[in-house]
Amino acid sequence: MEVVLYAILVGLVMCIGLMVAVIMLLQKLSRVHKKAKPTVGLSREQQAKLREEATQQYEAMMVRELQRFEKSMQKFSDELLAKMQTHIGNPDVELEKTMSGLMATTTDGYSTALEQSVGALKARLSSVDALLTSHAQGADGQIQALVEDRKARALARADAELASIFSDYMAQVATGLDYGDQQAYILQQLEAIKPQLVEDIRRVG
Amino acid sequence: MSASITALPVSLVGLTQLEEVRVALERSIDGKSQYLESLDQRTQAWLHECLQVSSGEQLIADLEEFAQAAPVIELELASTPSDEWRETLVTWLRTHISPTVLVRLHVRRNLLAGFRLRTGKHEYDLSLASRLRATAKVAGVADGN
Repeated sequence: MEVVLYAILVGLVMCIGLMVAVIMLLQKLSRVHKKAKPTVGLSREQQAKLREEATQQYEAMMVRELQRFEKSMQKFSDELLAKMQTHIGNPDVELEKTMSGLMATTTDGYSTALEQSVGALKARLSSVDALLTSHAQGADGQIQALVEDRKARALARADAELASIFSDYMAQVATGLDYGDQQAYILQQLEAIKPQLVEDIRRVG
Repeated sequence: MSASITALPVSLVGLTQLEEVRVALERSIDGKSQYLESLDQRTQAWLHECLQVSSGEQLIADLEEFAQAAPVIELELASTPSDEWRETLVTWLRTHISPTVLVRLHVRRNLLAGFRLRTGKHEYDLSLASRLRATAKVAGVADGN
């Protein structure tokens, strides 16, 4: 890409140089024509002679200017090509070497670091697995104990609060409760378990 | 079982009242009869009946022996029973279970209603609280589900 840009630049410079040379030649030609003005009023032979001299001078000047321009452009072109070789050709090789080395180093380092990271990650996962396994072995018992403890606490709390809850409930909903009904219920339940009670008392006695 | 104590009055519910009778009887023998007068009239009537067939010292010994051998039922109720209701319960137990059974009454308000009864062999929980707990357990409430 840079080579193409340099070539375009060289072509552009040469075109500009050519245009500058043409402009300079036209200016010199104009000066030659100004020098010839005092010849107005000369004879045809004198005018033809002057025109012939001017034409020769113009052609000689054109040759000189073109030779000078050609040398200048050749020099510029050589310097430009030398610079291109210096700054584009050779550095490419070095750069390629440098980049290759850098890429190799980076790739190797990246691979090594990646392998180390994967190894560390695997070790970490193994330790986590071991930790989870050990926790899982003791977790069943702990969870069971926790559940039992919470059940016991819930029942104890229910026992403690049930009386007041029921009293409030009765006060609000069952205001017409007849305790005579409860006595009948108790006697009925005693009657239901009477055989067991008789047997228990007989054994105790 | 002592021959002089074949049946107990309904006013003599449990060991506490039996011990009060024994102490009152001991002091009456020592000439302090006012202690017998502090007892319930039905208990005094029962003592008179017993003393018709047994001496005071013998009755005291019989009461001590009876207190150690008599069957005891512990009965828990949700509320303090009235005198009438307490006598109804004691009468029922001595009529249907044993004429000499002693009853130890407790008030457990967390039973809500119904009763809990212990014979020394088994416990019978026929309280409303136990019914609620059983219902809650079936519904999964008590398990925290």
